Amino acid sequence: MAQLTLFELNNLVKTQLESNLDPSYWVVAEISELRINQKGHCYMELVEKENNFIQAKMRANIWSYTYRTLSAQFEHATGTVLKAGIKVLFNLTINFHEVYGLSLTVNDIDPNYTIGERSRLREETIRKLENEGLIDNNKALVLPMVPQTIAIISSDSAAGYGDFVDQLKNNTETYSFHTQLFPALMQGNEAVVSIRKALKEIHECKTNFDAVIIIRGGGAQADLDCFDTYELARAIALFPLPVLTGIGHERDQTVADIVAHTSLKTPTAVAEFLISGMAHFDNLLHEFLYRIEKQYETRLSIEQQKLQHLSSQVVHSSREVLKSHDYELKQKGLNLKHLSERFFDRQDSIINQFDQQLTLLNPQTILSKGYSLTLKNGKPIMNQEIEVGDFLETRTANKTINSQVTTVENE
Amino acid sequence: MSKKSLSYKESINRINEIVELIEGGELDIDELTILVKEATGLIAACKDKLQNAQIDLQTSLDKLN
Repeated sequence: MAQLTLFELNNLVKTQLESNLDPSYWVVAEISELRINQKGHCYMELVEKENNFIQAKMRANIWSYTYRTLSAQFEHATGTVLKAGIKVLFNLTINFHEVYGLSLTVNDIDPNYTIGERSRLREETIRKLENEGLIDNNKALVLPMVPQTIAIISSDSAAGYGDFVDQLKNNTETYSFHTQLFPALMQGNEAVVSIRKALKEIHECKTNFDAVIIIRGGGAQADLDCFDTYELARAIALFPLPVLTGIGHERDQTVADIVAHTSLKTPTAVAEFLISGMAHFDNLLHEFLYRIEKQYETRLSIEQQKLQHLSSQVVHSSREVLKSHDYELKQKGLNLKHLSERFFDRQDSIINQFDQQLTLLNPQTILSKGYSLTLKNGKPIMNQEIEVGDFLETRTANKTINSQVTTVENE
Repeated sequence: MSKKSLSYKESINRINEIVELIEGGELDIDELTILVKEATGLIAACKDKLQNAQIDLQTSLDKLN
């Protein structure tokens, strides 16, 4: 019976592997664990899963020199770091060590697989959300005319948040916003849970806010994977307030952007969006004010003209009335004058007549004509008996003669 | 949305209503004056609100918690 030492056995395996296997293979595997030791070597556990059941498993490592290059290239190409949970296309060499057994050494990585895989997963997630009718759910909410009270999900140490708040507070029009930060991790494995927790907190006091914004700083393209997950997208889609995103992505929109009410590129863009909402409303107010003033001025001017017209009518009419009364009065005055003149004339002539008559009848007038008046005992002799020897007084115009009767003859 | 005295939307709708009435030209000068007063009051209130975000008592209480 042939007998081998263990070393010989392991060596046999080793040589068999070396001679029958290619120096390297391109293999797709999921990283289930990854750690870097202090020397910079990367130790991974690779798996293949089918519905969460592990079908295959193998240790793999990337020597630090290789790791430095590959990880940088990978991150640059995919926007993600090498980490547990992602599927990667590795170029592997199989090693068998007599003591340490079977392991894989990574020589190279093709990031396109991961990109493609991520795209595929993303498409899958989107498809799932579409089937559940969630894609447009948040978009169906009506964003208030002037979003003014804002709940912010961000990391308060992120530059994005600071810049955003600054921009809102110092906007040129001095519009006023009220914001409240609900801090959350914006990258890494805990991000999804953290953001969902923040959303839940906002939900508790949702009546205080007009909208929710999720913002994340600009700068280097870092890990946006959390924003492509189904769980986060679903939470956003179902949220009862409009959700705006400003996640600072350089490539395509994330799934979170797709389900959000409004997705903007950066926190700055979100700030501008909010400010412009206010400015738009402000302009509306101005326009209305302008229209009102114009109408009012026109109407006032019309009414003033009417008043003016009426008032001059009043003046004119009353003048006419006064004129005609004036004329009447003058006429009456003239009449009165005429009548009274005639009256006095008549009276005058009556008096003159009387005067004339009186003059004619005045005894003095008769006397002055040469007649004389004869009196006996101071009375006219006309109806007295005259006898011889009576004493008579005779008055002429300028004499008084006393005589005695010598003879009397009757006619 | 917090309960505001009159929301932006309600205000702007009422202002629009009034402006259309005014431009319709059927109002007498007294009605016109009353409506102009109402509209300019609303506009001033909205402008003020833009400059001073009104926060509900609710929010302030929440903050205390």
